[in-house]
Amino acid sequence: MRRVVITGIGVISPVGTGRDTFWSALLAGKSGIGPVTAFDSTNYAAHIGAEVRDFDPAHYVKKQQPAHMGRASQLAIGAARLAIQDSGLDLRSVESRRIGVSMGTTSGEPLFVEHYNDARKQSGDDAVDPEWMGLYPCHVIPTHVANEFGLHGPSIMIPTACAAGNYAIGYAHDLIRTGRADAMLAGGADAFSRIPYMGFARLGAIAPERCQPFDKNRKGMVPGEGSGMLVLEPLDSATARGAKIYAEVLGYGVSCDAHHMTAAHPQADGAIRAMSAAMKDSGVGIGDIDYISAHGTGTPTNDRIESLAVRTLFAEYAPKVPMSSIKSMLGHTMGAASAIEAAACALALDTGWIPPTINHEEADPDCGLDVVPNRSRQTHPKIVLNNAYAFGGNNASLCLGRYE
Amino acid sequence: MTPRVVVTGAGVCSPLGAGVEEFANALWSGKSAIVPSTRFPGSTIAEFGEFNPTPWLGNKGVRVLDRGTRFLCVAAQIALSSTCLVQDAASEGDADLGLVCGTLFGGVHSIAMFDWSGLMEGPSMVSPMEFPNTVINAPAGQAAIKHKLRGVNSTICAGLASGLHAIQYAADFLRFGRARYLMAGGMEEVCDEAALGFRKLGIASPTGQAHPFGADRDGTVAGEGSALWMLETEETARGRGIKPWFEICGFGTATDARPEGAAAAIEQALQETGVGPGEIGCIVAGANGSPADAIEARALRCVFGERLARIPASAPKAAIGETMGASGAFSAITAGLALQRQEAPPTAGFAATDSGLQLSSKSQPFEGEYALIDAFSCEGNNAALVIRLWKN
Amino acid sequence: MADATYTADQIRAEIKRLIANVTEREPGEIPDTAHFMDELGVDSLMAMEVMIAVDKKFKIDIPEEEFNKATNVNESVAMVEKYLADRSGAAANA
Repeated sequence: MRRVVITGIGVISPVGTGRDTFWSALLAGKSGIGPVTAFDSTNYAAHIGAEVRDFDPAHYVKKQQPAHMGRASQLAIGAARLAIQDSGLDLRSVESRRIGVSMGTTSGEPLFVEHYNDARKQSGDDAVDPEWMGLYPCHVIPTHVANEFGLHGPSIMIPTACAAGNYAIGYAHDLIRTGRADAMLAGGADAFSRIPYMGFARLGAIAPERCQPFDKNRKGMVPGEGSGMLVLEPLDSATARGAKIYAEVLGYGVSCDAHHMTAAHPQADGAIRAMSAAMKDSGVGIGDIDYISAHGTGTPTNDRIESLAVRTLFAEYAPKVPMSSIKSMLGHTMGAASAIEAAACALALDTGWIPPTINHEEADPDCGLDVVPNRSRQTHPKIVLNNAYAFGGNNASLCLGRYE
Repeated sequence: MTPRVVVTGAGVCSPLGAGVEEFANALWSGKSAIVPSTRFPGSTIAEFGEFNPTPWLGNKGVRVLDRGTRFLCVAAQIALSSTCLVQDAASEGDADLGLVCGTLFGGVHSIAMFDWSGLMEGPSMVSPMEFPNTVINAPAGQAAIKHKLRGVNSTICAGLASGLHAIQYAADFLRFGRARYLMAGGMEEVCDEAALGFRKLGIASPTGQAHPFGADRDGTVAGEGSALWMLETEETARGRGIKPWFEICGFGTATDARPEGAAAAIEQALQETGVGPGEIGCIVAGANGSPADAIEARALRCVFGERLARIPASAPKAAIGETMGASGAFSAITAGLALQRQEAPPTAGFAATDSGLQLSSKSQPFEGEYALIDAFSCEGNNAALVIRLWKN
Repeated sequence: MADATYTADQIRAEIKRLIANVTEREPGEIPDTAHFMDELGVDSLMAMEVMIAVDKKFKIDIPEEEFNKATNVNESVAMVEKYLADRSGAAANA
């Protein structure tokens, strides 16, 4: 089976657009969290979010009409364009039926549901946009990306919520590994929307001021938006064309808690099994992992259970494996999160630096791990694990390795 | 050596029939589930109307499941029973048993209602218990809790090709050894939003009927339900003494709204199976009565040439309507039944076609071990699957 | 217009109805002292749902952290009575 590598990175995020801006911001510990601007949050229990600012879809969407698609599609096309440019891959050099798009999302294009309801509230069914059924279903997001770049290969959306990016990148890697595709755009996208915001706020899950994963006094997560897209190719094609290789996708593992829709399994059963499955798929052991990109939302429960998962599985190695959460800076970009985090992992493997968990003031004894507090660190990781956990008990861990 | 993936069970929850046998009998008798809707007066829909999942799911743990999720959970219950994998109430759940569910909308009604309640009562008054069902993977996640499915759990969205993609995804996961048993297929609900969407998009038939490939076709009809296959490797099935029904032989896909896109998907599936068009005994088409049926017909003519007119074909959406994310799975179930009976089922209400396909309002016998299932979406998501009757 | 007044029995009946609803039982199956979480399987989402319904029905506003301190029907009834009394007291003093 073919080895699969990452040759292009495109990110549109609350801390910046483009690989360099994104990575510099992460290493500098810059936060993209601020007051919600996408809607009036006055009557909500929380008021902060991590939005993508100054995004001009017309800058990225060239072949289609930006107004004929939702924001998640626009962000995805933007990140995909950046990834393709970054990779230097001439799309015409790959047979169009052999290159496709694999993506993840949590909410898809929720603004169309908002508009649907706003219209009905205002004037009834007659006011609903006739096109809404063609624009809302989330599979149109990868289809829009495919159409923008003339990609005729496999196109799929795996909407496994906040773990979706890992599922999508893993599946893209499967398609190349098994020879069903010769290149894939893989990642995730989500747009800021009052719908999930309302839900998280109602649950009291949103932090009042900032995101403090693994901190003793952490108060919650911060909803966000964005897109992360990677170009994946077979190793031999990448080396043949002299491409820059950021990292190798070694494998991934998924599991389901089958316990509760929103609360993690109390003994971290699913999280542990996803990590184990990822390492088994990758042919590595716990002693090989030298950095973990945590799911680390900043909620009291997630961070406690995630720490338990790592301590249980890694045992005596656990305190030695640095584990940071870039959600401390990016907020929780939902279905894009693990894709953006995978981009960060690839950059960590490439540059030798790991990003910090910012806003860290007091260690939580229930965590007991090195969370790379506040300052990025040069550790030269060789094999990293990217963890993601979602509503519905969907868990996914992606394993990336340095290619030398 | 790549493990062979086989189908060992199935579950169907459809207004045409609950359970595979009832569904098959109705399909073979030419019945249609398309009725004047009680839920959306003025429309015809292949709908359940009032749906009571109690006979399959019992009384507990059902309240939190939205309507579409109930279809999925019932289909899963039937699929698990059909292959002796229903888990004991006391068990913690098999970590090697999972679900891959295709869908177009997921639980859009739950999402829309949650947002609506925020609009009408204020964001601080929304019900926390309704929030979990607002993620698109909620049906699959709820089914996992209900049936203790701790293994692989994925939701797949690829338009009308979702069901076939879900089957393929599950088959590849089994080949990778990431699970022992995977249910794969799809679910869809015709809710207020979907019904309004159909009407607004102008794809609903004004005469309220779906005539796939029909010379007089004038649109499609929305349909709902859930269909799942149980997949495992041939080795696992043999190990537990279960006789496979069919083998998953080949899959093809293309994101291309032109006939050559649909043809490419079919050709890939044939190529992976290692057979030519001449070996396909029966075709189950994804046509739903809309103008785009012509593109699928052209693709099939391109691949099969003159022989197309002699291959018994069936278009089940005439009976079950357009079930969107579940449609590929319903077509797969139909193809499997056709192989077992060596008969293509009737296409309900079929009168005439100029598509070049051999459709009929009666069942059509054939001799053949391979069946082709295809799904074509007009935004370009195409997929094709070839299955083979199992022979030892 | 004066706020409605409720007897303890009425409050008890309503709370049992709400708990029965979220746990898929009959109200008659909810004992006064059964622990919500440990014995009746009320999870955090269900508890929030009940709290919102209680607030709405009795037109009071119990903070979430306070509501979670009531772990059975008896304690919930006492809490609602307290908040109803506080509300009446406030109205009387207005």
